[in-house]
Amino acid sequence: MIPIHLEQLEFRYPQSDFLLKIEQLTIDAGSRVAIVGPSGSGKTTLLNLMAGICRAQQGRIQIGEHSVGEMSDSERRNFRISRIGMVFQQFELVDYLNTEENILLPFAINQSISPTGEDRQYAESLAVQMGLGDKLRRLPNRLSQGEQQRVAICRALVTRPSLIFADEPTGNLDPKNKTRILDILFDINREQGQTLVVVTHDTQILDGFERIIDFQDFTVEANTDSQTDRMLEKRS
Amino acid sequence: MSWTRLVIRYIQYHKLKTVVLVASIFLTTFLPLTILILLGEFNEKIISRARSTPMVIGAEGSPLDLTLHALYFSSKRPAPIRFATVEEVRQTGWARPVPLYSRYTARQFPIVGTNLAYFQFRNLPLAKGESLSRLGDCVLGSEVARQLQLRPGDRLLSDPENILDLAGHYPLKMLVRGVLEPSSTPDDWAVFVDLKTSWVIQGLGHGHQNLAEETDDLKVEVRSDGTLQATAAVLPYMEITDENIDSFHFHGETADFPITAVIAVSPDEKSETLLMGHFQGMENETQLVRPVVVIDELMSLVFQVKKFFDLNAILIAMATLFLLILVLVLSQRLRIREMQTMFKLGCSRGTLLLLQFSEIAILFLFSSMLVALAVWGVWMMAGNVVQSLLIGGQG
Amino acid sequence: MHYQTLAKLAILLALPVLWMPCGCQRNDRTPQDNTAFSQPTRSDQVSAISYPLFFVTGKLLEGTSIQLDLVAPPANAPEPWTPDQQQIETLQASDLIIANGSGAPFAKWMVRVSLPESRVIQTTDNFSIEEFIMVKDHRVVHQHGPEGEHSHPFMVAETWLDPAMLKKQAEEIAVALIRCYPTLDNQVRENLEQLNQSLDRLTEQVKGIPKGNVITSTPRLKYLTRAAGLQDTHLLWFDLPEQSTWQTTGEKAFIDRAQEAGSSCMLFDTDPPNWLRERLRELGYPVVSLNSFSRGGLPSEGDFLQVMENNLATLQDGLSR
Repeated sequence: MIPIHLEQLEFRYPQSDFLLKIEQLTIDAGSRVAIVGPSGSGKTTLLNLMAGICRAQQGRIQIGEHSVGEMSDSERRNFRISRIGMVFQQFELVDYLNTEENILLPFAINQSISPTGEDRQYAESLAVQMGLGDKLRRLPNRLSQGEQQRVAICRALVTRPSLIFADEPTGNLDPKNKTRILDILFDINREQGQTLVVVTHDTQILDGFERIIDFQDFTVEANTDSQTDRMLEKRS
Repeated sequence: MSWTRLVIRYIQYHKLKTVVLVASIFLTTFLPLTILILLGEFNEKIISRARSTPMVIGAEGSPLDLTLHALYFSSKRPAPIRFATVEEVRQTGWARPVPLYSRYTARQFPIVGTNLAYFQFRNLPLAKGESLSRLGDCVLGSEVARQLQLRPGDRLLSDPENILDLAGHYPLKMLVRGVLEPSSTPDDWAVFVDLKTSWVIQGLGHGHQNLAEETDDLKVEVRSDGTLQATAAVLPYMEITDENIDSFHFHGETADFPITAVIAVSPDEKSETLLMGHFQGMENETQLVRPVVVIDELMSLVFQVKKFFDLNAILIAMATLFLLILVLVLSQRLRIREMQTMFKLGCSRGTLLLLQFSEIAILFLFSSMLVALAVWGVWMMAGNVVQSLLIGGQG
Repeated sequence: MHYQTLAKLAILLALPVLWMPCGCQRNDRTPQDNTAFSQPTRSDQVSAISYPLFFVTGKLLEGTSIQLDLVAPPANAPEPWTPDQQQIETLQASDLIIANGSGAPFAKWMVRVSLPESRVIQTTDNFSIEEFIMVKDHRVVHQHGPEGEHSHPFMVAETWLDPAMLKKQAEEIAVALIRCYPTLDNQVRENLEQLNQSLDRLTEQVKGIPKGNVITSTPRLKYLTRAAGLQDTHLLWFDLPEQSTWQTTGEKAFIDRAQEAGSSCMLFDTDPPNWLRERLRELGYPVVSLNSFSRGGLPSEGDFLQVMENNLATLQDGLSR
């Protein structure tokens, strides 16, 4: 279980007026945090910054003992693949890989980690746990959307990460599947203690979160006048 | 699971694209290579055959037709010349003549009437059986024997020249006396008979029942002067056997009998020059050609034409390359999300490039292997293909 | 399809590619050298296809190591005769095949076998056409091919029955032998000289035969009768008459022909059956049997010169009767 701490963070996309500025933000280790706000408010950008996918121009991102900003590209990649599980709105499964191969994808794309027999068993147990035990050989196009998102969650968990970042994980799901996916994420958080950060604009799914960071109430805005940007924090 | 498996799974999943790309690469490279091999083979075979055939004498007309006929027994045969030409060459003492008369076919393979000297000249040892011994015997080239599944002792029927020519030439059932060793030359594709046997096929020699002993009134008519008149009911024998071989005879002067070419082999250059002078100086209907000169001229023309083929192949290859680049670029664009996901999951840009490059590399490798396989096949069959092309579609 | 399957396929595809440059070779042969063909090696073997030629060639080769074979039907061989495979092989292996001339009836088999033509010496090729005796076989007329109606005329082959002609043939043979075996030049020339003397003597003997008219059973004896200056009328008894047909038509036809000839000397080139011999004697045509070497084989006794001398003695005797 590791906490996340952001301080004096500034991020601007190249050749864009968008500016994300966070003075201070701390996410406790093992907590369930939802980041909500309208589209384009910077939720996903924040997630990408924390995951080390983007590099902030200024400020500090501290995840546990690691300062993401000070890491090299390869260190951030290795850190991401070993410590962070990513779940996306569009599931982002690889269409030519079957369920099992999609779950084991993190191992295939990073030569620094190779799956052990134990990892394979773990992948299979995750699939079983998610109700995908009989669908290991199926390609994504033969899975329902709920099933696809469960495969994506398995893929996020297969490297046994300390953090789970989910970007609109229920955005493409029907209410029944939304509940199921959230229950799964919360169960994992409760059972394994991973820090769960979920970005969503759906306010109906916020019930189970310990903390909600609402970008709409902040003065953090995409504004043409970047000099006036600032960010406030609200605790639920 | 490793990155290589990712690439293979990607290729497997996009079967149609893979097949189209592999086929494009295959065809673009295979066709020019095939032409290159066949032309190389053509050049090598024809030059080699021409070099081993010092001089050819035949009827006036196209030197190329005469050369190809004498070298390859091509179906486009020159006009016949008299057998006396053989004796004429021999009488000069400047060359050993080898007569050739190729007019008929047996199961589409050319029947080459010649004499025993031909086998010695071409250095054609027997693989099975014996050499030509008697009228009606034939010795098969290795390919003829293989394709027709014939062995010494079997019979082979000559093809009628014209099925409507009912009153003319009757097919002759020949006895397979021997089979030659393979030589990778046109001799593998020919049916060799004694010159006299080819004249029998033509009807210049024949055998029939002894009319003096024939008692059937339908076949023999006794004239008022006591002579016997054979009627049309007397058919010539279509097969030469121990029983009827004695009845075979020829009509007319052998010297006037037809042949299509004489190969002349001189012991030295001086004799060769003298023989050439002899035939050039004569105002008759024959010509003497040196195959190596004729073929050199032909090949220089062929290689001129090949330059256009080469240019065409280069243009096609470039067009295909551009299309391949387009297809690959478009397909990489379609994979941007997939690549982004992998990047987000922790994949390095180097690995992403490796994945994309490997796909192209595997496609090229696979295509190259197919091309190599096909080219190998072409290379192995090139001799036969060139042979059948030169013989004129026979065989 | 799984990874392993694909890998196997790749290996299978790669195999021929790897194999091609290293091991595989097509059955290509280099072009042959024509020197051997234009200057063939010698087997020191010569064949003759009739006894008289065998005799002459043997005389010319006396004192040399050249092997001489006679390929001809033995005296008792049934018609038709064709050399067997071994004899054909002997002929095909010979440096020279001494023949009498194309179309010779005694060697009809020559057109039916494959011979190395360049090595066949036609010893009568330099004869003028007038020197030959041509006989029209009017017994059979037929029509086939492009020629229209015709019968088969044939050339009488037994030129050796005229010793002067045989002498010319011997000279041809000597030329061929010397061309083939240049080292034997002197020996052959020497032998030829001796042979010519024998043949000259024989020619004188032939010329010494008393002149007269004769009937011959076949045209085979015509070279002898011509050389001896005899007037002959030939029959075409290549197959001797059957006793049954003789009684019905044969005898009358014979008597008509014999009366035309105006001769009572009936020459046979073979031994006729007793009944015919007897009947002809009764009719006033006693049979005179000569040996024409028509079958080509070895005589039962004596050599060519002795048989010819016997022939001449028999003929002289017959004519004087």
